[in-house]
Amino acid sequence: MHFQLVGLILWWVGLLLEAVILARMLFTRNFKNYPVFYLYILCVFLISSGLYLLYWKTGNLVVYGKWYWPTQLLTLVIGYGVILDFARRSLAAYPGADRFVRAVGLSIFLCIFSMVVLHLGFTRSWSQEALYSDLEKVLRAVEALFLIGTLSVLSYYGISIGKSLTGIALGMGIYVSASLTLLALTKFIGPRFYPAWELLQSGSYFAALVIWTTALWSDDSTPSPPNSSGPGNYDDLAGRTRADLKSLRDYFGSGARS
Amino acid sequence: MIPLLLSLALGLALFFLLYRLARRSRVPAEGSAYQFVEARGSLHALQRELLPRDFIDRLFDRRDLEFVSAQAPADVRQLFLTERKRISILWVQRVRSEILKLMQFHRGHSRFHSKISVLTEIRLAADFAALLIICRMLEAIFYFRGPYAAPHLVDSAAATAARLCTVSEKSLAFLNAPALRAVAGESPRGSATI
Repeated sequence: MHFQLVGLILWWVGLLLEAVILARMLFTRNFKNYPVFYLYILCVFLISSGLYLLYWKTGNLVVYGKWYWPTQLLTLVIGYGVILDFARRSLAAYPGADRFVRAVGLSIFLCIFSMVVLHLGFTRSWSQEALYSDLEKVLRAVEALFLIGTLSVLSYYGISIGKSLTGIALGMGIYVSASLTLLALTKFIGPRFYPAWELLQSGSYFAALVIWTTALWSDDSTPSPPNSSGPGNYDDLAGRTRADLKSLRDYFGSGARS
Repeated sequence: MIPLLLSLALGLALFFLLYRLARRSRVPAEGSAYQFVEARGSLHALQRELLPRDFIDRLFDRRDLEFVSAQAPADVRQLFLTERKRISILWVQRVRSEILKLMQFHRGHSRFHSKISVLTEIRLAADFAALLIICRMLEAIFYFRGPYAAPHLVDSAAATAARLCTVSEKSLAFLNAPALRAVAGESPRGSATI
Protein backbone atom coordinates (compact mmCIF):
# COMPACT_ATOMS: atom_id res chain seq x y z
CA MET A 1 0.00 0.00 0.00
CA HIS A 2 2.84 2.32 0.97
CA PHE A 3 4.71 1.43 -2.26
CA GLN A 4 1.54 2.09 -4.28
CA LEU A 5 1.05 5.53 -2.79
CA VAL A 6 4.66 6.56 -3.43
CA GLY A 7 4.39 5.17 -6.97
CA LEU A 8 1.22 7.17 -7.56
CA ILE A 9 2.84 10.38 -6.30
CA LEU A 10 5.84 9.79 -8.58
CA TRP A 11 3.40 9.29 -11.46
CA TRP A 12 1.64 12.63 -10.81
CA VAL A 13 4.86 14.57 -10.31
CA GLY A 14 6.31 12.89 -13.41
CA LEU A 15 3.33 14.04 -15.50
CA LEU A 16 3.75 17.53 -14.10
CA LEU A 17 7.47 17.60 -14.96
CA GLU A 18 6.78 16.36 -18.50
CA ALA A 19 4.25 19.16 -18.90
CA VAL A 20 6.82 21.65 -17.57
CA ILE A 21 9.48 20.42 -20.05
CA LEU A 22 7.01 20.75 -22.93
CA ALA A 23 5.91 24.20 -21.76
CA ARG A 24 9.53 25.38 -21.48
CA MET A 25 10.13 24.04 -24.99
CA LEU A 26 7.45 26.40 -26.30
CA PHE A 27 8.96 29.27 -24.34
CA THR A 28 12.63 28.69 -25.34
CA ARG A 29 11.76 27.44 -28.87
CA ASN A 30 14.20 24.61 -28.20
CA PHE A 31 12.15 22.17 -30.29
CA LYS A 32 14.20 22.87 -33.42
CA ASN A 33 17.40 21.92 -31.54
CA TYR A 34 16.21 18.61 -30.09
CA PRO A 35 13.08 17.54 -32.02
CA VAL A 36 13.45 13.81 -31.33
CA PHE A 37 13.84 14.33 -27.60
CA TYR A 38 10.74 16.53 -27.37
CA LEU A 39 8.79 14.04 -29.48
CA TYR A 40 9.83 11.39 -26.96
CA ILE A 41 8.65 13.50 -24.01
CA LEU A 42 5.36 14.28 -25.78
CA CYS A 43 4.76 10.57 -26.48
CA VAL A 44 5.59 9.58 -22.91
CA PHE A 45 3.32 12.35 -21.61
CA LEU A 46 0.39 11.26 -23.79
CA ILE A 47 0.88 7.55 -23.04
CA SER A 48 1.37 8.15 -19.33
CA SER A 49 -1.73 10.36 -19.12
CA GLY A 50 -3.73 7.82 -21.12
CA LEU A 51 -2.65 4.97 -18.84
CA TYR A 52 -3.45 7.04 -15.77
CA LEU A 53 -6.95 7.79 -17.09
CA LEU A 54 -7.42 4.09 -17.86
CA TYR A 55 -6.32 3.13 -14.35
CA TRP A 56 -8.49 5.83 -12.78
CA LYS A 57 -11.62 4.88 -14.81
CA THR A 58 -11.40 1.11 -14.49
CA GLY A 59 -9.37 0.78 -11.25
CA ASN A 60 -8.25 -2.50 -12.76
CA LEU A 61 -4.54 -3.29 -12.80
CA VAL A 62 -5.05 -6.14 -15.30
CA VAL A 63 -6.39 -3.76 -17.96
CA TYR A 64 -3.55 -1.37 -17.14
CA GLY A 65 -1.00 -4.19 -17.43
CA LYS A 66 -2.43 -5.21 -20.81
CA TRP A 67 -1.61 -1.77 -22.20
CA TYR A 68 1.60 -1.18 -20.28
CA TRP A 69 4.01 -3.41 -22.24
CA PRO A 70 3.02 -2.44 -25.82
CA THR A 71 3.16 1.27 -24.94
CA GLN A 72 6.46 0.74 -23.10
CA LEU A 73 7.93 -0.78 -26.29
CA LEU A 74 6.70 2.18 -28.32
CA THR A 75 8.44 4.69 -26.03
CA LEU A 76 11.52 2.48 -26.03
CA VAL A 77 11.72 2.67 -29.82
CA ILE A 78 11.44 6.48 -29.72
CA GLY A 79 14.05 6.40 -26.94
CA TYR A 80 16.39 4.81 -29.47
CA GLY A 81 15.83 7.81 -31.67
CA VAL A 82 16.81 10.09 -28.77
CA ILE A 83 20.10 8.21 -28.24
CA LEU A 84 20.92 8.19 -31.96
CA ASP A 85 20.10 11.89 -32.19
CA PHE A 86 22.31 12.56 -29.15
CA ALA A 87 25.23 10.72 -30.80
CA ARG A 88 24.69 12.56 -34.09
CA ARG A 89 24.49 16.01 -32.51
CA SER A 90 27.35 15.62 -30.05
CA LEU A 91 29.70 14.36 -32.79
CA ALA A 92 28.46 16.55 -35.65
CA ALA A 93 31.67 18.60 -35.72
CA TYR A 94 33.93 15.53 -35.45
CA PRO A 95 33.55 13.30 -38.53
CA GLY A 96 36.27 10.92 -37.39
CA ALA A 97 34.71 10.26 -34.01
CA ASP A 98 31.24 10.09 -35.60
CA ARG A 99 32.39 7.43 -38.03
CA PHE A 100 33.87 5.47 -35.16
CA VAL A 101 30.60 5.55 -33.16
CA ARG A 102 28.51 4.57 -36.18
CA ALA A 103 30.72 1.56 -36.87
CA VAL A 104 30.64 0.46 -33.23
CA GLY A 105 26.87 1.03 -33.00
CA LEU A 106 26.18 -1.00 -36.12
CA SER A 107 28.34 -3.88 -34.84
CA ILE A 108 26.51 -3.87 -31.49
CA PHE A 109 23.11 -3.86 -33.18
CA LEU A 110 24.04 -6.71 -35.55
CA CYS A 111 25.53 -8.72 -32.70
CA ILE A 112 22.50 -8.40 -30.39
CA PHE A 113 20.00 -8.82 -33.23
CA SER A 114 21.66 -12.09 -34.28
CA MET A 115 21.60 -13.29 -30.67
CA VAL A 116 17.88 -12.55 -30.36
CA VAL A 117 17.06 -14.28 -33.65
CA LEU A 118 19.05 -17.34 -32.57
CA HIS A 119 17.34 -17.33 -29.17
CA LEU A 120 13.90 -17.08 -30.81
CA GLY A 121 14.83 -19.89 -33.14
CA PHE A 122 15.68 -22.22 -30.28
CA THR A 123 12.92 -21.31 -27.78
CA ARG A 124 9.49 -20.96 -29.34
CA SER A 125 7.43 -21.02 -26.15
CA TRP A 126 7.36 -17.41 -25.05
CA SER A 127 4.18 -16.04 -23.52
CA GLN A 128 3.19 -12.56 -24.69
CA GLU A 129 4.23 -10.90 -21.40
CA ALA A 130 7.51 -12.82 -21.25
CA LEU A 131 8.12 -11.87 -24.88
CA TYR A 132 7.60 -8.14 -24.15
CA SER A 133 9.68 -8.29 -20.98
CA ASP A 134 12.56 -10.17 -22.64
CA LEU A 135 12.35 -7.97 -25.71
CA GLU A 136 12.54 -4.88 -23.52
CA LYS A 137 15.58 -6.31 -21.73
CA VAL A 138 17.36 -6.98 -25.01
CA LEU A 139 16.48 -3.58 -26.43
CA ARG A 140 17.57 -1.85 -23.21
CA ALA A 141 20.87 -3.75 -23.42
CA VAL A 142 21.39 -2.44 -26.98
CA GLU A 143 20.52 1.09 -25.82
CA ALA A 144 22.97 0.78 -22.93
CA LEU A 145 25.74 -0.55 -25.19
CA PHE A 146 25.22 2.20 -27.73
CA LEU A 147 25.28 4.85 -25.01
CA ILE A 148 28.41 3.27 -23.54
CA GLY A 149 30.02 3.34 -27.00
CA THR A 150 29.11 6.99 -27.59
CA LEU A 151 30.17 8.15 -24.12
CA SER A 152 33.45 6.21 -24.38
CA VAL A 153 34.24 7.93 -27.69
CA LEU A 154 33.34 11.35 -26.22
CA SER A 155 35.63 10.62 -23.28
CA TYR A 156 38.50 9.17 -25.37
CA TYR A 157 38.58 12.03 -27.86
CA GLY A 158 37.99 14.64 -25.13
CA ILE A 159 34.92 16.05 -26.88
CA SER A 160 33.01 18.71 -25.00
CA ILE A 161 29.21 18.83 -25.33
CA GLY A 162 26.77 21.48 -24.18
CA LYS A 163 24.72 21.52 -20.99
CA SER A 164 21.52 20.40 -22.72
CA LEU A 165 23.12 17.42 -24.48
CA THR A 166 24.89 16.42 -21.27
CA GLY A 167 21.55 16.56 -19.48
CA ILE A 168 19.81 14.49 -22.16
CA ALA A 169 22.56 11.84 -21.97
CA LEU A 170 22.59 11.80 -18.16
CA GLY A 171 18.83 11.44 -17.85
CA MET A 172 18.57 8.80 -20.56
CA GLY A 173 21.59 6.93 -19.22
CA ILE A 174 20.27 6.79 -15.66
CA TYR A 175 16.88 5.56 -16.85
CA VAL A 176 18.34 2.97 -19.26
CA SER A 177 20.87 1.56 -16.79
CA ALA A 178 18.27 1.41 -13.99
CA SER A 179 15.73 -0.31 -16.30
CA LEU A 180 18.29 -2.84 -17.48
CA THR A 181 19.46 -3.71 -13.98
CA LEU A 182 15.93 -3.84 -12.54
CA LEU A 183 14.61 -6.06 -15.35
CA ALA A 184 17.47 -8.50 -14.74
CA LEU A 185 16.80 -8.48 -10.99
CA THR A 186 13.05 -9.04 -11.58
CA LYS A 187 13.80 -12.07 -13.69
CA PHE A 188 16.25 -13.37 -11.09
CA ILE A 189 14.28 -12.70 -7.88
CA GLY A 190 10.77 -13.30 -9.20
CA PRO A 191 7.30 -11.85 -8.41
CA ARG A 192 8.17 -10.74 -4.86
CA PHE A 193 10.43 -8.07 -6.41
CA TYR A 194 7.59 -6.53 -8.50
CA PRO A 195 6.53 -3.81 -5.98
CA ALA A 196 10.13 -2.67 -5.48
CA TRP A 197 10.71 -2.86 -9.25
CA GLU A 198 7.72 -0.58 -9.97
CA LEU A 199 8.89 1.95 -7.42
CA LEU A 200 12.56 1.96 -8.48
CA GLN A 201 11.63 2.11 -12.18
CA SER A 202 9.38 5.12 -11.55
CA GLY A 203 12.06 6.64 -9.31
CA SER A 204 14.76 6.39 -11.97
CA TYR A 205 12.45 7.95 -14.56
CA PHE A 206 11.58 10.70 -12.09
CA ALA A 207 15.33 11.37 -11.58
CA ALA A 208 15.75 11.55 -15.38
CA LEU A 209 12.86 14.04 -15.62
CA VAL A 210 14.40 16.26 -12.93
CA ILE A 211 17.73 16.28 -14.83
CA TRP A 212 16.02 17.03 -18.16
CA THR A 213 13.95 19.85 -16.66
CA THR A 214 17.07 21.46 -15.19
CA ALA A 215 19.29 20.93 -18.25
CA LEU A 216 16.72 22.14 -20.78
CA TRP A 217 15.42 25.06 -18.77
CA SER A 218 17.33 27.48 -20.96
CA ASP A 219 18.43 27.30 -24.59
CA ASP A 220 21.97 25.98 -24.91
CA SER A 221 23.37 24.86 -28.21
CA THR A 222 26.33 22.48 -28.49
CA PRO A 223 29.62 24.39 -28.25
CA SER A 224 31.65 24.64 -31.39
CA PRO A 225 34.76 22.44 -31.40
CA PRO A 226 37.95 23.91 -30.01
CA ASN A 227 40.48 25.18 -32.53
CA SER A 228 39.99 23.01 -35.56
CA SER A 229 43.01 20.99 -36.41
CA GLY A 230 44.92 20.50 -39.62
CA PRO A 231 47.10 22.44 -41.95
CA GLY A 232 44.67 25.38 -41.94
CA ASN A 233 45.51 26.05 -38.35
CA TYR A 234 49.20 25.50 -38.98
CA ASP A 235 48.88 28.20 -41.62
CA ASP A 236 47.84 30.61 -38.85
CA LEU A 237 51.05 29.82 -37.01
CA ALA A 238 53.09 30.16 -40.20
CA GLY A 239 51.36 33.49 -40.96
CA ARG A 240 52.14 34.85 -37.50
CA THR A 241 55.76 33.71 -37.81
CA ARG A 242 56.05 35.36 -41.23
CA ALA A 243 54.69 38.62 -39.75
CA ASP A 244 57.20 38.41 -36.89
CA LEU A 245 60.05 37.80 -39.35
CA LYS A 246 58.91 40.77 -41.43
CA SER A 247 58.94 43.08 -38.41
CA LEU A 248 62.41 41.75 -37.49
CA ARG A 249 63.59 42.41 -41.06
CA ASP A 250 62.17 45.95 -40.90
CA TYR A 251 63.86 46.51 -37.55
CA PHE A 252 67.28 45.32 -38.71
CA GLY A 253 66.87 47.11 -42.05
CA SER A 254 66.17 50.46 -40.33
CA GLY A 255 69.10 49.83 -37.94
CA ALA A 256 71.49 49.28 -40.86
CA ARG A 257 70.32 52.47 -42.62
CA SER A 258 70.69 54.72 -39.53
CA MET B 1 22.94 -15.84 -13.04
CA ILE B 2 25.17 -14.90 -16.03
CA PRO B 3 22.51 -12.65 -17.68
CA LEU B 4 22.06 -10.90 -14.33
CA LEU B 5 25.80 -10.33 -13.96
CA LEU B 6 26.05 -9.08 -17.56
CA SER B 7 23.17 -6.66 -17.03
CA LEU B 8 24.68 -5.42 -13.77
CA ALA B 9 28.07 -4.97 -15.45
CA LEU B 10 26.48 -2.98 -18.29
CA GLY B 11 24.49 -0.86 -15.85
CA LEU B 12 27.58 -0.13 -13.74
CA ALA B 13 29.72 0.69 -16.79
CA LEU B 14 27.06 3.12 -17.99
CA PHE B 15 26.82 4.73 -14.54
CA PHE B 16 30.61 5.13 -14.43
CA LEU B 17 30.71 6.84 -17.84
CA LEU B 18 27.79 9.09 -16.91
CA TYR B 19 29.61 10.05 -13.72
CA ARG B 20 32.69 10.95 -15.77
CA LEU B 21 30.56 12.95 -18.20
CA ALA B 22 28.91 14.87 -15.35
CA ARG B 23 32.24 15.53 -13.58
CA ARG B 24 34.17 16.55 -16.67
CA SER B 25 35.48 20.07 -16.51
CA ARG B 26 36.26 22.21 -19.53
CA VAL B 27 38.17 20.32 -22.16
CA PRO B 28 41.45 22.01 -23.15
CA ALA B 29 41.73 23.24 -26.72
CA GLU B 30 43.12 20.45 -28.81
CA GLY B 31 44.38 20.29 -32.31
CA SER B 32 45.89 23.78 -32.07
CA ALA B 33 49.08 24.80 -33.86
CA TYR B 34 50.87 24.78 -30.51
CA GLN B 35 49.94 21.11 -30.12
CA PHE B 36 51.41 20.27 -33.51
CA VAL B 37 54.69 21.82 -32.52
CA GLU B 38 54.64 20.15 -29.10
CA ALA B 39 53.89 16.76 -30.66
CA ARG B 40 56.75 17.29 -33.11
CA GLY B 41 59.03 17.95 -30.13
CA SER B 42 57.86 14.79 -28.37
CA LEU B 43 58.40 12.74 -31.49
CA HIS B 44 61.88 14.17 -31.87
CA ALA B 45 62.71 13.45 -28.23
CA LEU B 46 61.50 9.87 -28.50
CA GLN B 47 63.16 9.05 -31.81
CA ARG B 48 66.47 10.84 -31.31
CA GLU B 49 67.02 10.75 -27.55
CA LEU B 50 65.01 8.08 -25.75
CA LEU B 51 64.41 5.19 -28.12
CA PRO B 52 67.56 4.70 -30.22
CA ARG B 53 68.62 1.06 -29.92
CA ASP B 54 72.23 1.78 -28.92
CA PHE B 55 71.10 4.14 -26.16
CA ILE B 56 68.72 1.55 -24.69
CA ASP B 57 71.39 -1.18 -24.99
CA ARG B 58 73.88 1.08 -23.21
CA LEU B 59 71.46 1.99 -20.41
CA PHE B 60 70.35 -1.56 -19.64
CA ASP B 61 73.59 -3.41 -20.43
CA ARG B 62 74.49 -5.73 -17.55
CA ARG B 63 78.14 -5.72 -18.60
CA ASP B 64 78.51 -2.24 -17.06
CA LEU B 65 77.46 -3.66 -13.72
CA GLU B 66 79.77 -6.66 -14.15
CA PHE B 67 82.66 -4.36 -14.98
CA VAL B 68 82.07 -2.14 -11.93
CA SER B 69 81.61 -5.20 -9.71
CA ALA B 70 84.93 -6.65 -10.92
CA GLN B 71 86.91 -3.41 -10.74
CA ALA B 72 85.55 -1.49 -7.76
CA PRO B 73 84.64 -2.06 -4.12
CA ALA B 74 81.09 -2.89 -2.98
CA ASP B 75 80.12 0.69 -2.07
CA VAL B 76 81.03 1.91 -5.57
CA ARG B 77 78.97 -0.93 -7.01
CA GLN B 78 76.07 0.15 -4.80
CA LEU B 79 76.48 3.76 -5.89
CA PHE B 80 76.52 2.65 -9.54
CA LEU B 81 73.33 0.64 -9.07
CA THR B 82 71.57 3.53 -7.32
CA GLU B 83 72.51 5.94 -10.09
CA ARG B 84 71.56 3.52 -12.86
CA LYS B 85 68.21 2.89 -11.15
CA ARG B 86 67.57 6.64 -10.95
CA ILE B 87 68.41 7.10 -14.65
CA SER B 88 66.21 4.13 -15.65
CA ILE B 89 63.26 5.53 -13.73
CA LEU B 90 63.82 8.96 -15.29
CA TRP B 91 64.01 7.32 -18.73
CA VAL B 92 60.73 5.45 -18.34
CA GLN B 93 58.98 8.52 -16.86
CA ARG B 94 60.15 10.63 -19.78
CA VAL B 95 59.02 8.02 -22.33
CA ARG B 96 55.61 7.90 -20.64
CA SER B 97 55.26 11.67 -20.60
CA GLU B 98 56.22 12.05 -24.29
CA ILE B 99 53.88 9.20 -25.27
CA LEU B 100 51.05 10.90 -23.36
CA LYS B 101 51.66 14.08 -25.35
CA LEU B 102 51.62 12.11 -28.60
CA MET B 103 48.41 10.38 -27.55
CA GLN B 104 46.78 13.70 -26.74
CA PHE B 105 47.87 15.05 -30.12
CA HIS B 106 46.59 11.96 -31.91
CA ARG B 107 43.17 12.14 -30.22
CA GLY B 108 42.82 15.84 -30.92
CA HIS B 109 43.84 15.31 -34.53
CA SER B 110 42.07 12.11 -35.62
CA ARG B 111 38.58 13.01 -34.33
CA PHE B 112 38.29 15.52 -37.20
CA HIS B 113 39.28 13.05 -39.92
CA SER B 114 36.33 11.56 -41.73
CA LYS B 115 38.40 8.78 -43.28
CA ILE B 116 39.86 7.22 -40.16
CA SER B 117 39.96 3.46 -40.04
CA VAL B 118 38.01 2.19 -37.05
CA LEU B 119 40.24 -0.88 -36.69
CA THR B 120 43.41 1.21 -36.79
CA GLU B 121 41.96 3.56 -34.19
CA ILE B 122 41.12 0.64 -31.88
CA ARG B 123 44.57 -0.86 -32.39
CA LEU B 124 46.24 2.49 -31.68
CA ALA B 125 44.13 3.06 -28.57
CA ALA B 126 45.09 -0.42 -27.35
CA ASP B 127 48.77 0.25 -28.11
CA PHE B 128 48.72 3.58 -26.25
CA ALA B 129 46.94 2.02 -23.27
CA ALA B 130 49.29 -1.00 -23.20
CA LEU B 131 52.37 1.18 -23.42
CA LEU B 132 51.24 3.47 -20.61
CA ILE B 133 50.56 0.42 -18.42
CA ILE B 134 53.93 -1.13 -19.31
CA CYS B 135 55.68 2.15 -18.42
CA ARG B 136 54.01 2.20 -15.02
CA MET B 137 54.98 -1.45 -14.48
CA LEU B 138 58.58 -0.74 -15.49
CA GLU B 139 58.70 2.19 -13.10
CA ALA B 140 57.61 -0.08 -10.24
CA ILE B 141 60.00 -2.87 -11.27
CA PHE B 142 62.98 -0.47 -11.54
CA TYR B 143 62.10 1.00 -8.16
CA PHE B 144 61.81 -2.31 -6.32
CA ARG B 145 64.10 -4.66 -8.23
CA GLY B 146 66.59 -2.45 -10.00
CA PRO B 147 67.26 -1.46 -13.64
CA TYR B 148 68.19 -4.94 -14.90
CA ALA B 149 65.10 -6.81 -13.68
CA ALA B 150 62.92 -6.70 -16.81
CA PRO B 151 64.93 -6.57 -20.06
CA HIS B 152 62.13 -8.12 -22.14
CA LEU B 153 59.60 -5.60 -20.89
CA VAL B 154 62.02 -2.77 -21.78
CA ASP B 155 62.34 -4.18 -25.32
CA SER B 156 58.59 -4.52 -25.60
CA ALA B 157 58.04 -0.91 -24.42
CA ALA B 158 60.66 0.39 -26.85
CA ALA B 159 59.15 -1.56 -29.77
CA THR B 160 55.60 -0.37 -29.06
CA ALA B 161 56.78 3.21 -28.59
CA ALA B 162 58.68 3.07 -31.88
CA ARG B 163 55.56 1.77 -33.66
CA LEU B 164 53.49 4.62 -32.24
CA CYS B 165 56.16 7.10 -33.27
CA THR B 166 55.96 5.85 -36.86
CA VAL B 167 52.18 6.40 -36.92
CA SER B 168 52.50 9.86 -35.38
CA GLU B 169 55.27 10.77 -37.79
CA LYS B 170 52.85 10.28 -40.69
CA SER B 171 50.34 12.65 -39.06
CA LEU B 172 53.06 15.27 -38.60
CA ALA B 173 54.67 14.81 -42.00
CA PHE B 174 53.42 18.16 -43.29
CA LEU B 175 55.67 19.94 -40.76
CA ASN B 176 58.65 18.68 -42.76
CA ALA B 177 57.55 20.65 -45.82
CA PRO B 178 60.26 21.01 -48.51
CA ALA B 179 59.71 24.80 -48.38
CA LEU B 180 61.03 24.85 -44.82
CA ARG B 181 64.18 22.98 -45.86
CA ALA B 182 64.63 25.42 -48.76
CA VAL B 183 64.52 28.37 -46.36
CA ALA B 184 67.02 26.64 -44.08
CA GLY B 185 69.26 26.00 -47.09
CA GLU B 186 69.42 29.70 -47.93
CA SER B 187 71.17 30.51 -44.68
CA PRO B 188 74.95 30.52 -44.82
CA ARG B 189 76.80 28.79 -41.98
CA GLY B 190 77.05 31.00 -38.87
CA SER B 191 74.29 33.44 -39.90
CA ALA B 192 70.64 33.45 -40.81
CA THR B 193 68.74 34.69 -43.86
CA ILE B 194 65.86 36.86 -42.71
